[in-house]
Amino acid sequence: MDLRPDTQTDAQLIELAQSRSPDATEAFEKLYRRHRDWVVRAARRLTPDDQAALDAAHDAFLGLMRRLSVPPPLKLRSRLTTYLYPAVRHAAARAAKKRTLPRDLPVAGPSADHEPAASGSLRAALDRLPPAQREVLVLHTVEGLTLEEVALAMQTPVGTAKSRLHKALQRLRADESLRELFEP
Amino acid sequence: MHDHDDSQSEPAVPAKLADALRQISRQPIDTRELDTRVLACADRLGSPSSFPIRLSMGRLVGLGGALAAGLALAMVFWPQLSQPRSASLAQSSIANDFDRDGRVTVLDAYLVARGVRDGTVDPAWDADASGTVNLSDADAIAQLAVLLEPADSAPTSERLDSAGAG
Repeated sequence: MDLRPDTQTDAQLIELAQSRSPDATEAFEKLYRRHRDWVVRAARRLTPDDQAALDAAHDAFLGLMRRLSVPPPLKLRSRLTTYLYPAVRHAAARAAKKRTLPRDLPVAGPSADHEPAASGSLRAALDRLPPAQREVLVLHTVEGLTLEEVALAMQTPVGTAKSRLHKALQRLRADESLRELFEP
Repeated sequence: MHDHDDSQSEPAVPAKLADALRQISRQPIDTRELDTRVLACADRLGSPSSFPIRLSMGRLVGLGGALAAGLALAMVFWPQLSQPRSASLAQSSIANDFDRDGRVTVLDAYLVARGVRDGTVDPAWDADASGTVNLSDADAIAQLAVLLEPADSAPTSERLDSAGAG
């Protein structure tokens, strides 16, 4: 195992993965390990269970691998996650359709027994948000994407992402049970 | 339809809300199975001749068309193809007769294409002498087999031999 610090950027690794050299596999593996948890989390928010999330993540990474293996070369113009996210959404939608489960799935992921009580209220409030508003809120707040990156990932105009975030916050603020989360 | 509003400023997410959202959104999932599934495929990225998803759409269409035409011919002439052959043909070493059935047919192309797909190619299948075995070889054999396969003539192998010699 290579224990050297991983200093290569995503763009450098993408280039290497497309080089058809012996280093291509290692480059892809680094990209995979760097973004795996993010992709799995994103997939989990869009799918009914862990297995469906793993399937969606698998499809997203295979899609990336397929893209890296055919010309023209992929040039990364933003974070790799903004490229992967549409693939995750697509795969998650396919998985949900296959399992004929309700489309309006909870975005917050599985609940945990050790969560504080306020988390339950927040989780319920999130589930009541329109899916598109929920997605923007989580991608921006939890995953740390800028609104420009959120817009790219969701393939919408930036103004739309901004507006959805604004409306999501408005709805949450109106919820009495979440008042403490809006206090300074 | 999108709800546009470019003019408004970026809304600030309160710190406590952000923390709470992060807390409920980050539940660990066991990814060992995913690691195995994805990284098993990643091994193929560095091997130019054996990765099935390197195919261009044009080549796929071309090969698919050639294979479809060949298979149609094979079905039409199946009674002839399935008759027992002489020992000399069964043992023949005809160029490109990779399945050793005494003829060069689309089935030889299929054998090569399947080998490329599965990563189990034989160096002897380098029909176009390019130094690597890939779909170009399957393509070339399929086209040759389809183009030179008449309905009522001597065994294909003889014609291929003469074509190769000429």
